[in-house]
Amino acid sequence: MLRVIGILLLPMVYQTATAQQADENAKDYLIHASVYQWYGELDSNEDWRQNHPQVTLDFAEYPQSSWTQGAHQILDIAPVSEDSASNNPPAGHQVRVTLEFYPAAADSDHVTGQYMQQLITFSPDYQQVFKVETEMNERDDFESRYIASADTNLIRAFLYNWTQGLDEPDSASLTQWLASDAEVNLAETQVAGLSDYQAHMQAQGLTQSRRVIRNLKISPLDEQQYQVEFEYQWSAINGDGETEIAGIGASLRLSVVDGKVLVHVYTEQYLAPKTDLGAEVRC
Amino acid sequence: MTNNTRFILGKGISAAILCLVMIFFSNAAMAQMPVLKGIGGDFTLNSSKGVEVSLSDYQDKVVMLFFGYTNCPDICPTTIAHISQMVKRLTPEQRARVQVLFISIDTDYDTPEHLNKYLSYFDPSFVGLVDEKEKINHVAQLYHAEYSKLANEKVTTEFKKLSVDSEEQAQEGYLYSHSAKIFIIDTKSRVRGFFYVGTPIDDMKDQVISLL
Repeated sequence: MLRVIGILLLPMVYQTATAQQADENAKDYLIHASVYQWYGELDSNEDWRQNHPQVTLDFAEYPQSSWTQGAHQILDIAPVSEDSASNNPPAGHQVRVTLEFYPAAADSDHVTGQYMQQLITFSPDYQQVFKVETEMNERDDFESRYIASADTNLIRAFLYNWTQGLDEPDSASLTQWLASDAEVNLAETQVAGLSDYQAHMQAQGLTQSRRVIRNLKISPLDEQQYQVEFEYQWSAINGDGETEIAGIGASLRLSVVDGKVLVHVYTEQYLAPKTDLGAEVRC
Repeated sequence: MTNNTRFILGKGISAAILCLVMIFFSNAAMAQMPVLKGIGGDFTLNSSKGVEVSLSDYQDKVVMLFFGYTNCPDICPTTIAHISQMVKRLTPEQRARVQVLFISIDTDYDTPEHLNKYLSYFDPSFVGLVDEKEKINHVAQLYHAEYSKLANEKVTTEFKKLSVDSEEQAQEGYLYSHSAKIFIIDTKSRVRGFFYVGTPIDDMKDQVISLL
């Protein structure tokens, strides 16, 4: 009987793993970029008031319901499904964000965090935040070390936008992120730079390009500069309808100045395909 | 219901479930092999056939590429035998469009003659390749096929040494740690995936045929 149960469970385990992979592949990087950008701006300084003039906040996370410096550490981003039966275009999109908020304290490194769920209403193009409503706000019963999150949230927002721009080169100008002396080396050695990348994809007949970000590591170099390392799991369909895949290692040196990310060095290289190590090397 | 009937019914249900699971997994495994970017490339090396051979010579063929060495005691002969069994199951027309290449990483010992004799035991159509160490290293790098010499000490596998040449070549045996992948290269010289000695022969055959 145990054997039968085991056999029955096998496909479920397989399907769960496949579903997790599918979830990662289906992650909407535009939404993730907008959410990280919002909290990055909110944690940087009070410029968010100019950047999102129409926003209505409940300030539930802040002491005395008034904005102060803090750190929103994002735990989960879940777009709220929309009514597909409606004929009218949506006035905005809603995204439910689960996060841990830490208020900055002038006199201590250790603060009490708050586990929160907020419902954000974005404009139809996700560029503006209209409303933030707090649905859950539970104070931790322990203290945590305060770690600022403004820059890392802005870097993550940039990465999602950058990745979206690489997958759909005509959707965004990637050069807006580059410093004047930026050095860019793509994995495809015959592609001279970002300006040639779109032409390269078109020449190869590549469509449905998708770069999934894995193993992201953000390390501060000094107060403004960061070293960012991660991997792309890239896939696309070529002109013959075949699936092309690659593992690409990416390394960036960037700075965050006044809430803006600026890339100084971006380097990609193809990675060796990952296979079962046990089957890999023998004597 | 007797105990015997219950037993037979139970076995029947188990077998049916097992069949369903096998069909499920075999369909998943049989998905079309993707094109792998960032791995592979053309190369030219001395061959066991006495002439230089390039990968591009085999365009329009599916190439099964393996890195190993003739003194390898276990994984090389097992893998080549596995490939050989698969090739035997192809029709003559299909076989004419499949080429097996064996690249020797033991540039100190293996010669084209060694490779020719060694591979003839499995299938005379298999081509062995060996050249200067730098050239082999370059090809191994192209295919991310890591290898390293483990030790220069005498090992118990010495009796397996092929002695096609003079006794001058007799020297101590040694082992290499090396990739056990069988690289599958399509008719456009693009790497499409890997097989291993554990890959079922029918799966290998179906995948190779799908690339022809």
